[in-house]
Amino acid sequence: MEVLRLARAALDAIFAHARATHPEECCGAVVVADGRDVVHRFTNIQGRLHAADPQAYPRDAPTAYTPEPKELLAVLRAGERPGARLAVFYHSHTRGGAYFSGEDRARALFDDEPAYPDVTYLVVSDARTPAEARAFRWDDASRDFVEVPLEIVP
Amino acid sequence: MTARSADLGTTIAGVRLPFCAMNAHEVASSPQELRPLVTSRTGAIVLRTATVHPFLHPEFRSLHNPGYDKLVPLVRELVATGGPPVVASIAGSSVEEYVFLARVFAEAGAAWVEANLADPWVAATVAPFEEPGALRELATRTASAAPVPVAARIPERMPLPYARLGDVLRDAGVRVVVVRNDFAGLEKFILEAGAGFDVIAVGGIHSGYDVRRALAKGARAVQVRSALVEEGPGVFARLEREMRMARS
Repeated sequence: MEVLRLARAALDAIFAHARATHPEECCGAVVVADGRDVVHRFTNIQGRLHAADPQAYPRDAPTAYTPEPKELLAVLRAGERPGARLAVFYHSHTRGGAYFSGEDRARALFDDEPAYPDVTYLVVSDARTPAEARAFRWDDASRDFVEVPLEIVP
Repeated sequence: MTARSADLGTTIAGVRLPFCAMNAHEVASSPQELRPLVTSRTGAIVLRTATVHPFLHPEFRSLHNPGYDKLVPLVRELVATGGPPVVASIAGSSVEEYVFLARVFAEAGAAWVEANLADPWVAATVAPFEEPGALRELATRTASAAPVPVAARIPERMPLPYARLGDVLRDAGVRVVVVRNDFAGLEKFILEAGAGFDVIAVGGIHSGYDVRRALAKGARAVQVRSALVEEGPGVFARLEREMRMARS
């Protein structure tokens, strides 16, 4: 699988986001624009959804994330501008390691097909010292998300 | 259509349908669910509402779809079978997205395009019913962009008076309306919106008698939801059979 190359500054910004929202999960995206990794923070609205309808949204923000939809839409559009592409969706785990959970997988699929097959899902854990980051991408051969190497570049 | 007629087909915006009942957009989403409709007795095949981007947001589950680029090839595939007319349902986050989707699906072979104006996401972004000017721009630009008829699927709770809605849609060239099959929807629209619309009633269709009732109230066709989920594509043959019984 193709390696995910991520600028050190971008990864640091993602870790900073995770620390800032702790004990709630953070979420966001990285758009590569003119060769630069640009981190876009999403507001995690999971807490609001859970408070409004705990049956429909049994998880609260410390254990789940839902991006604010208009912020998400803005990033999708940013990734379509000339010279830009949406490269990464990221979120944090605040209690466990940086693994791709069953919930993460389910949210990335529509009818068992990846909604964004070219986008890498980066999971960071701010529960560990030092913070951990692992990357996952859809693999057609195994028809599943598999871990891909993460290369941090200056 | 009259009760005496043996023909249970209908015509929507000039498109001839072999039967006056079809699926509602939200019922069949995957290719595996849609393909069996080709050989069923459905009058048309309505695709799940498509957006420009894949839409998986948990707050707006009613709009979940894989994105237009996955559904356009499916339109082509279904059209190529020579089966019932294929209808594309679309929803945008902007007028430009509606215009784009209407054009793309029309070019793929959709018989008409159903502009979904009823989804909560549409209310949160395009907000077409906040004031008539917004609806006028959306309807006019979408209808003029598509080389096929455009239908408007309207919300269960219509913020605008039906008379004004009818005026705006008529001026825009939208001649098909998909409306909830109850008094506040179908009947009030027929009574208040004025002439010139082919109305499709959605919901509450469980038998051929229900279809007959909706047609008697002024609908030209119906869309089926829960009965299709429960019975599968065979429901259309049952509705047809029951309509013939209801006629006799």
